[in-house]
Amino acid sequence: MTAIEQEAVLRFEGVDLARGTRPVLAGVDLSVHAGEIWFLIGRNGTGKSTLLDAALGRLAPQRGRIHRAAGLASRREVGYVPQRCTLDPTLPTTVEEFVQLGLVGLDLAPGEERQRVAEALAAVELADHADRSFWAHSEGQRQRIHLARALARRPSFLLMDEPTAALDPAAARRFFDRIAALSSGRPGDARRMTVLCATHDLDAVERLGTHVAVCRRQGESSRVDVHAGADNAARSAREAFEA
Amino acid sequence: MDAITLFLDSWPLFGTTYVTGWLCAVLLGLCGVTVVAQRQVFHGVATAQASSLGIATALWLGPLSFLGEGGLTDHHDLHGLPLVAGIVFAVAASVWTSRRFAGETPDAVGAWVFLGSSSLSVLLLAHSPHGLEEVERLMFSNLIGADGHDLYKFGGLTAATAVVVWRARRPLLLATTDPSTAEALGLPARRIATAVAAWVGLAIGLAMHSAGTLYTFGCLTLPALTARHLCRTMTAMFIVAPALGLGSALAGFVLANAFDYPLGQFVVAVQAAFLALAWAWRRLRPR
Repeated sequence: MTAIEQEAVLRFEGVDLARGTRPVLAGVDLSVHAGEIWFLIGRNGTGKSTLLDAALGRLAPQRGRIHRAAGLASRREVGYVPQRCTLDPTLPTTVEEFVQLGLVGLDLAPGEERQRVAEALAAVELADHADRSFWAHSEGQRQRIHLARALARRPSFLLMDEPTAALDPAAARRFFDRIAALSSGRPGDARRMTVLCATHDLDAVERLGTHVAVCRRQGESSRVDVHAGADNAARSAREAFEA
Repeated sequence: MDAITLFLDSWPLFGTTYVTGWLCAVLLGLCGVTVVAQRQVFHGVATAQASSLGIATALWLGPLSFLGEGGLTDHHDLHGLPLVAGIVFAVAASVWTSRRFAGETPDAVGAWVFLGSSSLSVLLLAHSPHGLEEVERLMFSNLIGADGHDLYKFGGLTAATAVVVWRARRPLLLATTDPSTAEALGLPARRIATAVAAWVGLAIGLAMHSAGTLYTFGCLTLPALTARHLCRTMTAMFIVAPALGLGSALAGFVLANAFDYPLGQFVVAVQAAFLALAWAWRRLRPR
């Protein structure tokens, strides 16, 4: 095992994944290191969300092994941004309550919780929105609030499942610019966030990706091709969609 | 003033019934927040009807197993097997109707449970006059039968529910409103949803036995639906919904007693009026 492999925070070794009895991904091999920005791309149904679920430990491999760093395995250092909000729009909630719900399982003191919520909202430029209704915000702002919910956990791992699917191109670009700024480290904190993001946004892949995992259908299941470096990542992403 | 005096005069005879009804309203108000948060309002009435079917099944089996030729003689025969069967059927139905089954939505499964339970519980006891009387009593609500046992059961379950809800309110809310994120953050969302459904089923099963379908379904859904319009946060709904349930039961019992109306129906009418007022306030308030 090389030194680089030893430092991997997430490693798939010959992993096969299935949803029920349906095979989805076969023979996945990849190593993710701290601070890298990974984009998972591919057509619909090729296994991007399945790969994220496996990274989170929500889906066990049928074959092969998945190694996760302690903070990822315990989920204590995980922030998660879903594709869309599943909360019933008739339920009342403030931005502050919505973000606080993301702190479950961390057992923080009330003062620490308030501080983290304030910091996370400041990071997404919604610092003075804490007391406002969640539903009074636009789709783009709500997705930023989702990001704040993830950031309040001070994550070492940020996992996102098509977070800009409901946003217009300009809002999507601003969303990913914010991710790029945040992933380079928080003030006073030398750690860099590792980002795993399933997306169809090739512009974001081209501008920000350090790695891209391309999911391509091959027979009954999909295979995953990994490309490192911004240029390779962008070119592979475009080829995957043009193919 | 006269209404309150009349109410206090009736206390020696119906005090236990009143307190049981209030505890029941608080318990169901707490449970109702999770039901409303999961968009499963219909789930409550389906679970209540399944509880009726459990009681009807026990009554149907009763003369064969332990009641002998005479069958049932009064309400107190509903303790024992019918109570247990009512709770077991309610818990099973609550868990079952809280999830997708055979490609159906929880609403469709709930409708099947409601209609199947309603018809079967009557058919099972159609030729047993006392049993049929009990099923009709359960459907149309009657709080008069509550006794000391009910008081302790509701007191204990309400206290336990309040403690659990307050201590675990965040995981509970995240798992019921956003299961995908909850699981990503390490919460066992499916197990929490199943535990919540079982708990709600237990509360409904017990409430059905003492108060019947109308009072149970009304206290489960109407205060929580009203609280949704009055609160700014989901957490506040856990305080406002049981408070509305208790308030409507207090006012309902006093007024029903003063004007000689049935208790359960009067309380539900008050709760329905509260919800209508909440709708009006929401439409008319300045934005």
